[in-house]
Amino acid sequence: MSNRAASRRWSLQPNPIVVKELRSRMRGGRAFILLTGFLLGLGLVGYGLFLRATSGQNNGAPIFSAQVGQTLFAGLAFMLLFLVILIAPAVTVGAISSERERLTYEMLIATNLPSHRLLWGKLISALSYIALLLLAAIPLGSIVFLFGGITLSHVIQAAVIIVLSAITSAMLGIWASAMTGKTGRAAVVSYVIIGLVLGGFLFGAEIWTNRTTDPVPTGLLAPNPISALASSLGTLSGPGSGGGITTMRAFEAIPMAAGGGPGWWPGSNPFSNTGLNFPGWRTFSIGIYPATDQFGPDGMPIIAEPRSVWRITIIILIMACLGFFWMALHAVKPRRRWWPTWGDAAMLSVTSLSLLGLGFWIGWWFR
Amino acid sequence: MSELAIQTVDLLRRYGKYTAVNKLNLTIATGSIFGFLGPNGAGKTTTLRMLAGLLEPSSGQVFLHGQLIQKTSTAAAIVGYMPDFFGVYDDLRVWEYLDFYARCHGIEPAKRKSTVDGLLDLVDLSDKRNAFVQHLSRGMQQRLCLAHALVHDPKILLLDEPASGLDPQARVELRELLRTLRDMGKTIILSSHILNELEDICTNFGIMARGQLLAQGSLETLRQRSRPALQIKVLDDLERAMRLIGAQSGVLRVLEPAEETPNLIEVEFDGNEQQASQLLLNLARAELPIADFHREDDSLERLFLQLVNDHVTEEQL
Ligand SMILES: Nc1ncnc2c1ncn2[C@@H]1O[C@H](COP(=O)(O)OP(=O)(O)OP(=O)(O)O)[C@@H](O)[C@H]1O
Ligand SMILES: [Mg+2]
Repeated sequence: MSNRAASRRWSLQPNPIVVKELRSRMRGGRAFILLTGFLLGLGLVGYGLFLRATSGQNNGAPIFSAQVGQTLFAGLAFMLLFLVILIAPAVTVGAISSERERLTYEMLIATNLPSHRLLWGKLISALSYIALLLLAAIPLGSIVFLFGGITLSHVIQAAVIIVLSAITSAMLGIWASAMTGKTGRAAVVSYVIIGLVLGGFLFGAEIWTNRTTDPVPTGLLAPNPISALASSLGTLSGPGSGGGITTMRAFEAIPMAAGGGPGWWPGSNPFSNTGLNFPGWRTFSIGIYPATDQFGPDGMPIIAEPRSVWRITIIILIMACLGFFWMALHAVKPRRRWWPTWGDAAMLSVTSLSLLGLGFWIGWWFR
Repeated sequence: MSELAIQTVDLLRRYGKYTAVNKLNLTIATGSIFGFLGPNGAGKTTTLRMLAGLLEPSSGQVFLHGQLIQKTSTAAAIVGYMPDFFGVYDDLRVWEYLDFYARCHGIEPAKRKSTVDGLLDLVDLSDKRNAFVQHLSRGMQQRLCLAHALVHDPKILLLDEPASGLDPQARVELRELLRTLRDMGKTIILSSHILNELEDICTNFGIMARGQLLAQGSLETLRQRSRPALQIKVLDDLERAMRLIGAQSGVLRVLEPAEETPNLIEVEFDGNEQQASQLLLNLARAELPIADFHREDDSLERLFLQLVNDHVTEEQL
């Protein structure tokens, strides 16, 4: 049997690992208990945010429905980001190591299944579970649209950042599982890395802003999905949303069109200075708003448009995924070889070229 | 060359400084049932894993049906491997378990169900089709694992201690099953350290100790190599008895009694019957309390112990 004929046959069939994992994972109540807990948690947080956004936090100023919508949306987006980043490795840290630990690994490797299909299957079955969580969250999340204040592009950006973070986080777990061969160790490695990326970079940015007024270097923001999401959400209420500094003034409250239509310019945005009002926002958005020394006609300092670091984050996450996949691919083979093959080199250059091309095409690098 | 199912050339595997398998030159003919014998730590599992492409040799080559094995996938298409220790997936039913491996081997959907049903029938688990794998008994799991190795109809079967943990009845059934498989034209290699388990099913044997292949061939050729022996049970005065025996004609070597049988002296002996009777007479004349005196049959076990002992003493010299 030639390998090529075999792989052609495979490509037409569902991945065996996915079939197996879904059969065994979805059996029994565990998966659904977690799902219920997840939705309950999300609902409670959403309700808390709603209470907060509508309970006179605006110092007596009128509360706009859009404002509530934005706060709810941003709060839930962060909540989802954290949940997904924390849950994904929990689903995947056992991907390879548990096969080793329960002595099924050799029998699996001794089949004709190519290593990339093994890893791919593990990734897909983990992600399908996370996708189930995210899909289940949609009805709840769509309550946000009742309030308005959000554009489609914000939803798409947040979704892209959350989904990519989930994939990277899942891939990190698989990588740790393949490298260490021990589920416990893989969990420690994964969560330490996640802690360092999420907390470490924020902490670095915090220190930076305390030391100097120079803008925080992109290198401290872009690798962090938190900063990425903040930089996307920061454009929700326009410039000047840097942390709810002052109250908004009613006379400026001209209706805000979806997409920030007429009346959306620095300093006179109806929602300027209202800010996203939920705990943690100030921390998450560190370094996102470059300071300016300009003032608007109303005497308020104009805070520039948030930096769109999330574009670079997307590239970084994709590269990280590919890197993890590549390393895991080599680690699951019984004969480990770390020298990149020509295929590896070709794949790497094609991916980076296409990412670069994409970047230039959309003009990401210039904004 | 092509009728050789397996050939290894100077196959060597080290773990750090320790050489687990040392320059192994195995030749196994197609259609044979090859019994791999050796005490614990001989290197049987290490060898089988290299044959299955799961472990990289430190040096040397493995040829399966004339094909050099360099990748796991090359070996995977040719061999079915049943490890000595294996686990099962929780929450999978028996048929799903086999279905999973069938999918891993890329068996077409149309053929999958008949393959699974055929194998369940072969290993006599049809009535457990819908049971959960973790609820099967040890022996049933063993049979299921054997079935998993057959999913892609491999030409070669590598079974690492397939009979361990089986009751006598199940061993008889396993033997029957292996014969059926051989009749299907498969080459079967099985390892064990229990000899009589292999003696009546295997057509060929390889004896291994401390990483080295001490002998290989059919039972007949191996028997010719074994030296006949006498077993003498002396109830008392062992020292004197051993000295006396050692001085007799036809005696090659007198072995120290084993700890479990402190009165049993084993004697390597290639004399004729006259010399044997003379030996007994002399012992009786010396008034030694002889309780038993008999010729050992030339069983595989004897040969095995001889070879392993010789090897150990050689190494000590
Ligand atoms: N992964 C490993 N790392 C280090 N040493 C190993 C490893 N696997 C096996 N060995 C050593 O190699 C030698 C041969 O082991 P192997 O498992 O092949 O023996 P075996 O003949 O199968 O024994 P048994 O009858 O007990 O199964 C042993 O001394 C063992 O300690
Ligand atoms: Mg063994």
